[in-house]
Amino acid sequence: MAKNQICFSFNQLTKIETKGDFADMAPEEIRQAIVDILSDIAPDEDLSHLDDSVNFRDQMELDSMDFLDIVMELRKRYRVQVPEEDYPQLASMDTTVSYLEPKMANVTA
Amino acid sequence: MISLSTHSELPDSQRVVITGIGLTAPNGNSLTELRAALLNGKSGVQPYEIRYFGKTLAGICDFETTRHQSKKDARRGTRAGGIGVFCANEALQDSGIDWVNTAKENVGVYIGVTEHGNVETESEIYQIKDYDYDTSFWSHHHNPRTVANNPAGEIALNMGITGPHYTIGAACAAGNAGMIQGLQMLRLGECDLAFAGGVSESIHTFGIFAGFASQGALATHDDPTKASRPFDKNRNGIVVAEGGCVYTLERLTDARARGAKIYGEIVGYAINTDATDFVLPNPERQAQCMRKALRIAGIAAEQIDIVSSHATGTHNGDILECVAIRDVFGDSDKTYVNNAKSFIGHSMGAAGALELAGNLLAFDDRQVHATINVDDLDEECALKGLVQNQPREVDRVDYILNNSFGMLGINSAVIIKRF
Repeated sequence: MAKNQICFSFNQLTKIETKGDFADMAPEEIRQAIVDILSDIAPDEDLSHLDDSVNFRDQMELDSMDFLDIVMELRKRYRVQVPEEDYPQLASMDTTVSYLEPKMANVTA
Repeated sequence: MISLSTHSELPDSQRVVITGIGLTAPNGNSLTELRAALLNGKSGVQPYEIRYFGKTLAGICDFETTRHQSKKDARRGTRAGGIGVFCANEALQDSGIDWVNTAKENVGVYIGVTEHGNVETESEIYQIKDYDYDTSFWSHHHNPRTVANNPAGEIALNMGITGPHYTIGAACAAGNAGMIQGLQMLRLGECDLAFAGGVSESIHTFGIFAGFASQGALATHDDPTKASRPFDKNRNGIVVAEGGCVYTLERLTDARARGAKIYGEIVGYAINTDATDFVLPNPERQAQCMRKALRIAGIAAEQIDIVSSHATGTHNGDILECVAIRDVFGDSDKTYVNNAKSFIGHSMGAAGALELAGNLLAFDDRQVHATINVDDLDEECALKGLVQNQPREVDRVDYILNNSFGMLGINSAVIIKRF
């Protein structure tokens, strides 16, 4: 990146167009969407060895603000709203994908 | 009011010395790089573009952001915080302090800022524009990024410092104000080690460019390296810069006990206020500020070898500072005047600390760096000792006086003595 272009968004995730229609996404696509979000939120982590059955927090350095980042990015990228009472559903990759599958089916473009 | 002791009356336990320096400037990421750039006439001003405002010029830093900070923390924090973290860690390394065995509760962090929060607020508004200004898309990181103590807090968080930390908001006098705060806290016994200085992320807010442009105070030039030209007849305003400089300050007794390298001693300082205008400086108050610093140092104006001027390249500001400098230093034969903004632009909250750093090695190399880009000296800025365009070799440098002034009429001066 050129030095004179560093002015935008040190702190923001790369601006991504809203993906919109989530309804057609297969579980593996949802998984990839989560990996993409995690790689932005935790850029120092190696996500290639992520164990989908283990809680994110037990294999990555993630705190409550990071989880809010996941929620925010789902909202920004896919317009999926995750209410606060459902946050525990985002504990691991398996639970997250299971949770999002029906949510995504309800999302309209 | 209790009168402040002059320097010669102080016991060693009240004398404060500089033992480490960490910095990033548009033309160097260490003290030696900055010094070499200043002696070789190397500018750090480049073409720059920022949202809404468009193409302009700026002093841009290229320090290694992940040298002392994870990518995640850099993303989560602010540019000002990242600059502070880099500078503080570099200062620590330079100081040689045994950090593992340092009691972190006795360490203080005092960081000057001109402004803070504009970058993040502008960025968030820019982002939610695409969501029809729906504030549910507003980041939960906004508040920790924009609290006024953020840059100092990020340093404390990064280094595990549990003593006091805060920023000192002092417009463009903030770098000096950070150092002065650190010195005062050491003298009060509030800390045993102070990380003190200033930072600037200001090039990342379009508002500062637009504001100076509307004020008729933003520099333009076909050649970016010629845009910042204090004292030149054709100067046309400020070049905004980012940067940072953090010092480790210690009481002389502590520094001696660990055999520390000592860059210099802060022997005089002053902060005062114009109380006359939001923007236009008052040379009478600036002169009072310099004289107060001299009085505290217990020295005469003629003993100052280098005045590191504040001049930013605005028409009125430069002339008025020259009025003040002439008033204080008159016909002093040995006092030289220079300016670092001509090289790097105006690094705002970092300026005071950074510009002093650029002069400190003069104690050893006996060179007074110049003010560059003086192609046609403004007669009203023709100070007797102005070092124009080329550095000047001198026999000896014992005292440096560093001026830093800011909006709302805040003035500051710091005097450093060779050690």
